[in-house]
Amino acid sequence: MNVSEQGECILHLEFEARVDNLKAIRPQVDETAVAEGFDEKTADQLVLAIDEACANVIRHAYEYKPGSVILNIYREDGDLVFVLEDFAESIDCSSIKPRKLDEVRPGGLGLNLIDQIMDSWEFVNSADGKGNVLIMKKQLPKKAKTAHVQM
Amino acid sequence: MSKCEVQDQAGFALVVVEGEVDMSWSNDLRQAILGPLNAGRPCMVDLSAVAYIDSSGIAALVEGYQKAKGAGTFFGLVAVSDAVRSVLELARLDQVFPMYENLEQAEASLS
Repeated sequence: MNVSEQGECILHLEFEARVDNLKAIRPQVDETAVAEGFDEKTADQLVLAIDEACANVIRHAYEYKPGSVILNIYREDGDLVFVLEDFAESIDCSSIKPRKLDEVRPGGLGLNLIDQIMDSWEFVNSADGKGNVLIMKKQLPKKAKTAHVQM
Repeated sequence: MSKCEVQDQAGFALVVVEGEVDMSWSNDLRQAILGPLNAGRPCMVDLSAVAYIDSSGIAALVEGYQKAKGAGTFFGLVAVSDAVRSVLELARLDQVFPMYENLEQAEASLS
């Protein structure tokens, strides 16, 4: 495990931006979420959110061209922090907004799912001006308190 | 193993889906759904064996629903697994699709 300025890194994955890599990433995110105390349903949702984020990188950032992606998961100040980084052309972060869910139409749902599942998320451009970083946060479940019963 | 298969039923086509639906093969699902609908045939999708679905899989279902609506035919979901239902709820689409608990119920709705 690494300790960085963003907290303790509990999962580090580097992979090629290819759709056939998504299946191998999902169980690793699931195992991490469960190990951090999330219930099965929430862990499944976190897997979905990360899968959607990776799919968006493949589809929109790299436009199905070859490229590298890094996923780091940190434990930081009571949150699980997911940092997804690509090295594609920088996008206009202000243009990225979830669409209205009352429109029944195919496509454009990925960011909505991320928005529904995560407590917060933000897009930033990489510090060196090449690439994009999506930072998503989910509050870690509170540990069960021991019941004290006075007799 | 993930796959989808189109079965010919009396009065409609049944697309049976298995495994994890993601963008690596959701276009196959889309084609399987649109095939019968483009031919004017009602279509049902059996989702009982789907362990995972992403937004591209959901988009294939939405496209089928809209295609059927526009063509005046029928599109519905059968035996929706918990994994799929959970994503439909997150996307607020769980009230949009006609859904049936089993094939018998789906068949009865068309008779």
